[in-house]
Amino acid sequence: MTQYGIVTDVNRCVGCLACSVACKVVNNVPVGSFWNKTLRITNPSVEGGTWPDTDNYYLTVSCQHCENPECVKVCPTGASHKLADGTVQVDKSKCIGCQFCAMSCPYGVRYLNEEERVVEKCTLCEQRIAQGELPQCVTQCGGMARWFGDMDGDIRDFKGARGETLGEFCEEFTDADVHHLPDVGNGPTGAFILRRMVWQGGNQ
Amino acid sequence: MELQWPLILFTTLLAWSAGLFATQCAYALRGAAPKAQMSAWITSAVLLVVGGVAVFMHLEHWERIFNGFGHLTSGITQELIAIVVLAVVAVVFAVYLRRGTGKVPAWVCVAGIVVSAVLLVVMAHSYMMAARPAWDSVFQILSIVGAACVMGPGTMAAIDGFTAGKVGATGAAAVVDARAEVGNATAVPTAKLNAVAVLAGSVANAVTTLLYIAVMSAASSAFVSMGHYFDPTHPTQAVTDVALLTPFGGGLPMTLLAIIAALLAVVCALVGKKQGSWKVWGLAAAVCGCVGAIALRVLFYQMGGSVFLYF
Repeated sequence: MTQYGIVTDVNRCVGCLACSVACKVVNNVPVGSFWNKTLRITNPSVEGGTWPDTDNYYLTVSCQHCENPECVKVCPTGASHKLADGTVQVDKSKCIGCQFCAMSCPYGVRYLNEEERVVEKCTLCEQRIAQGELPQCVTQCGGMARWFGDMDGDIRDFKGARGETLGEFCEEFTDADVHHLPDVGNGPTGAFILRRMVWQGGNQ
Repeated sequence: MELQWPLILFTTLLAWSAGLFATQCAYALRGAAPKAQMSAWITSAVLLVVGGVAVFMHLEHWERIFNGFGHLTSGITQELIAIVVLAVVAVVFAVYLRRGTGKVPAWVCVAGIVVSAVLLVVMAHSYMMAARPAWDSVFQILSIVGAACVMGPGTMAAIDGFTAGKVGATGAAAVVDARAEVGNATAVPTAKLNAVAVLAGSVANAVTTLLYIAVMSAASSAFVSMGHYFDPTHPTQAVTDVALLTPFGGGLPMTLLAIIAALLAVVCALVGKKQGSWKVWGLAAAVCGCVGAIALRVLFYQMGGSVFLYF
């Protein structure tokens, strides 16, 4: 069983938005919509505090290609489906645009493409990973923060843009540094490594 | 999230339709208001059709409707199955209604009540999503059933008032004993049934409305708090304020409207019972129930933020 996913080393992310922009270009994402969005989190560790008592980091959010995707469960036509590689995809020719999948997503990453009148979201660049390439957001990451691989394996083996692995290239981390977006039974597979700062992306 | 008007109208009209059909089944079971039955059936069917048209407006590619509906875990598929079953029972009911004495067998009436209730539960259940804390409650389902409980009996009582044939026919002073008309040994005075059904239904609706609003208030604690954040890709967009996602915060106007409409329906039921006149008061209770149901569904969408609000 394979479960492809992306691990982001949040401490390495410089907030350049290259992943968001590259994604829009390669996937022709409409103006105003995003498959991958970068949020800046600023959280004073001490009330009213200034640096270094202030957490400041960037959180890149996209489809988490969940283990038990609620979007697949609620789809009446089977347009939303999970592939053998673990990614969640939308067959646009089957989609009737009921948008229940968008409602059922805990992260709000699905939206209605107004032109095609179907729902779409991050495909993890299926057109690229199916032939052994990396998702465009990983290839384009300026801070070497994004890493791609099989979540069923060791995330230290995840591949980066230049061919290194996460374990070789990134600063050491513990299990306590690995976080996920909030899980409401869907089992998000994307992971975020955040050291020395307070995780604000959910309860894990 | 943004208001989905086709779905708001669909859920409200379907609750009205199923509530009315279940009520007329209950009346038929008790042998009450025989003259109102066909009008009630037609009204229920019209509400179902209009609701069905409304929900089609929600679909972006309705021409692909036959692409699926075989995916049984989907709430939409389950709704469609329940609607088809209800339609079949309703047709059987109408056939018996048109035959000879117009007496509908008890099993058809019971099936009508059960299928109507199941349809409402299935419909509301399709919105029970763990991703949206304000929706993921059994009280959300009960609020739909509650709306049906006031709109159905209110409409049935009003139709009875219009079809009884003479002024005061359903009043306390001129009770119609349907027993004589349909030969049903368990028949009860229609006026009494009107009063009990509308009053009990409106109280049930008020209780379920208040309970669901309370549940939505509590649900706001489930949203993820991000401390301070900024969305560089939407720099002019306001930061999400979780405090607004409460019925008594950003949803206050709709909360008040839903509560007032639900309580007004109870008042209409009490006045109708006192005056023994349901033409106006039955209809008023149903309209109040409808307004309250729409307000509650608008509030439902206003409060419908996902656990992670920041994409």
